[in-house]
Amino acid sequence: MSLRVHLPGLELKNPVMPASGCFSFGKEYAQFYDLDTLGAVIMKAATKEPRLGNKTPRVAETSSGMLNAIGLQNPGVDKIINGEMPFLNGYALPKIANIAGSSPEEYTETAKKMSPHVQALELNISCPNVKEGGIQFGTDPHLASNVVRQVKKVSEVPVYVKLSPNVTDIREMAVACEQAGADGLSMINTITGMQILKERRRPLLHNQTGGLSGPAIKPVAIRMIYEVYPYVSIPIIGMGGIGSAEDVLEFLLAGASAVAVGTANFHNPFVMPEIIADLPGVLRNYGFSSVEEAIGGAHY
Amino acid sequence: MQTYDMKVVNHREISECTYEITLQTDVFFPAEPGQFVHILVDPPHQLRRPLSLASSSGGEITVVYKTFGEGTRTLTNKKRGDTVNVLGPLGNGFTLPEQEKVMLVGGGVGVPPLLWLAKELHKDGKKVSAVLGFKSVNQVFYRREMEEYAEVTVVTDDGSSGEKGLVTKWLDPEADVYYACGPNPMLKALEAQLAIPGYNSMEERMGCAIGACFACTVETTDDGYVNVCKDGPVFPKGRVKLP
Repeated sequence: MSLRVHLPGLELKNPVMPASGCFSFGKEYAQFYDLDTLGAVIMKAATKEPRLGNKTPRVAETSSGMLNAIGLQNPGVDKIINGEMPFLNGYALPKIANIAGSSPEEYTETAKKMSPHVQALELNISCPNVKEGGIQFGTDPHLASNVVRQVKKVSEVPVYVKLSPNVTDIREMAVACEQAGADGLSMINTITGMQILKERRRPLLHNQTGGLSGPAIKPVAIRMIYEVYPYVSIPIIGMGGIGSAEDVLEFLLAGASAVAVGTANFHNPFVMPEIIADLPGVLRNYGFSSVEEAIGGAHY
Repeated sequence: MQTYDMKVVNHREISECTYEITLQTDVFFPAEPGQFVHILVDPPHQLRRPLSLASSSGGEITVVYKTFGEGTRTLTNKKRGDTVNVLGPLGNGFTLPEQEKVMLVGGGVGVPPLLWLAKELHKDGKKVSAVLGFKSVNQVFYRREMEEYAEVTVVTDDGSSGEKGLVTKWLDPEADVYYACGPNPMLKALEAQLAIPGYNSMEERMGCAIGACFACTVETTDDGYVNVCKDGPVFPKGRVKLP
């Protein structure tokens, strides 16, 4: 049973990686298992300058999911390269850097610095939790094309674009990114939501809105990947509520070539190694002899 | 670090909407006073619940929680013999004091970690006083338990049990160090009022509880933002800009 997947810049021994923002830079989860068990790692978002993020409360639980409004807290690209990456470099697995910004220049500056240290970039044009965190680039195809084109010019490695689900037609965004030179897509980022604290008659999160993640958004992610798959020829890394090997297969069938696991890590810190261990059996049960065979299987 | 499937050996309501649950595993659970555990609640709940340890010995732990929302209400359904998955022990516990006269100040569900601390301090021969604040008589718990190790003053907002008012009105003037756990306004008032050194054990909504998700951030006076889960939950007085 082969779990291998070949993607631009990434030779994955299996298709499972942590979603950006849920895994920091790996140190914490390395206390639970060998990170080289994973197919790759997607690091927490990096910005040109350090960011403090939003005030707390930053998380709230919802029905079968959670809202978060961290707000891209990170020590800035330089400190990430010098302070956080040496630990990850002790592992052989492919590294993907998620980069965010408020202007094309900020994206290109960060990309230029980061790309020599990783195997791929994930362009975060979809963080819903900061006014200037890229969401404006993620909801306007023209702005998206422009930032993708500029980052492609400076990046030494393939560029994946993380799409926002907070749009009317995600195909339009996907196609615009592909035409601008994107090497792959990550879908989906969180869905904007809100929870009201009844006792206080106020939104619970200090940021008021947050990004919804977890099993609650899985059908939305599946639908969007299924919609985009026939319209693009670049690979899709799928994410949104994945918590089991059965979920992984569903994403593969919808059209994802690899997957990222986010919220489920908080529920069960061992979830990714467990999914990887379960995946061969699940693929076999549904009549597949490799991961690659299952990709896009729901379309044929 | 690992997770433990623990058996419920005791689960009871100890005051209004406040539950004490005792869990057991076959192996040694290496916890210290002031540390917490991250407890898995049955589906559809996605997030664990961070709860301070009221005691831990061998493989048996006790935590106390209040039913604030659906997750904690779901937890009340756990019966003796059921299994609960526990991640921990987590965070940094209390640093034991050099000083001899120690005051513990607890507000509501902030009391449990102080009970374990009181036991340790008592063992060390310290003179321990405890000021325990609750909303009203229905909410009071762990008074008798605490009296085994400390000189206890119970304070209620409405005076229905013990003294009336806020804990800050009934502090021990003799103490030369304090340990506090409770709502942030209480911790803030204590910092402002007391000249002696002290420690705050903080509470915050958490995601991962291991320092990876940055949900439980607080601002420090000397080192930018830190995480309550990994850098706390116990911080020396003055270290954190209390929200």
